Amino acid sequence: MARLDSLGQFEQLVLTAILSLHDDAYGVTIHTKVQELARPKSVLLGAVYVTLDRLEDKGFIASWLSDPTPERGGRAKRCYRLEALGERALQESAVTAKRVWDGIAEVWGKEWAKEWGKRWTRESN
Amino acid sequence: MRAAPPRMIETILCLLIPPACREEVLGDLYESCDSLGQYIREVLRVVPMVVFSRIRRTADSRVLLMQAVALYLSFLGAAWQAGNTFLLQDSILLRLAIPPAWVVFGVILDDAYAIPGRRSFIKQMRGTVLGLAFAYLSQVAFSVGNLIPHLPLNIMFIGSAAGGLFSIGLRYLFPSVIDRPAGAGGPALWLKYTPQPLRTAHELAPVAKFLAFVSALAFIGGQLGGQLLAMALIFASILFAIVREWRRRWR
Repeated sequence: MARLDSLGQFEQLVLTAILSLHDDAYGVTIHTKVQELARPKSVLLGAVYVTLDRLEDKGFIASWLSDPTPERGGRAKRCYRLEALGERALQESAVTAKRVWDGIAEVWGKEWAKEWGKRWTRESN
Repeated sequence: MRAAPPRMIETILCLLIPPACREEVLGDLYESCDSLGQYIREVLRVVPMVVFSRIRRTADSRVLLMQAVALYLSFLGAAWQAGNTFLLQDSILLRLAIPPAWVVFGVILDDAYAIPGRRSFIKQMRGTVLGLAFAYLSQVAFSVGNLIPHLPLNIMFIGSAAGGLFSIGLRYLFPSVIDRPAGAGGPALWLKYTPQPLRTAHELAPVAKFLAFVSALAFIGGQLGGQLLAMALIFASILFAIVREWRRRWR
């Protein structure tokens, strides 16, 4: 099997946003979702475009233009979907992130991991 | 956005945003902004990044470098032909690099702002012609503003004619990334073509090595056999590099 390009942190966020948005993944919704995932950091819409282009060049995502809609001033949306290669890259990243998490929890203790887990759950709610 | 942005701003935006991504970027800006102030702020932050991203996708670093070297050598040759004393002037090698830099800039801009899918004979030379126009305008600005001594007109004519032909010729050998028909509909030869977009620094390492090799060759040639041998060695190595790159890409 061919080796995949490794994903940067921002690329992981964008791919996760596309994955969770299903059929509604386009510039504005992806930006909103990435902002949500990256908080408290703010994310520029332009940075999302640059990353989407790069991910498309790598073959991780595919895009197409939808029909124009009035709420966008009669402009079309560019919708994105995850390709098989992108799904694999995201899976690999998630597994690596899990290993990092386990490694840290092993050193800093399970209590620390539980505390952070609770804090994240509170934040997401 | 509650109200539509002023027509003038949208017209300027249409000119600034590359056509390949204009539709979705304008739509996203319209949808995500609530006020005109926010719209303008967002435009100022988004447009440079969109243009940069488009340039990164469409610029072919190795072909651009080949064009730059061919253009520079053309201007250098024109200056050499104008007489040996001309090449002894202050910072002349740097001044000779200004027109080729403009041409490369023109080619990069033309690629980024080209409409995908529209292929034509004239389009292949448009970037070079645009760049040459920039180069002549810069020389006019230099002569009017008296900032940097401008190049004599005969050097500009000979250099731009020879360099322009080389640049257009290279464009025919290595067409732009956006001119490549995508998908199964494209001819087999086109589907084999692998462009080299501007990426990380380590991908430009072979280019740097080649430049170092050519410089060393030119220096040794110059020491052993004079200017003529140095120029011949440079031309031969560039020709070799072009043929090698062409064969590699169309293999």
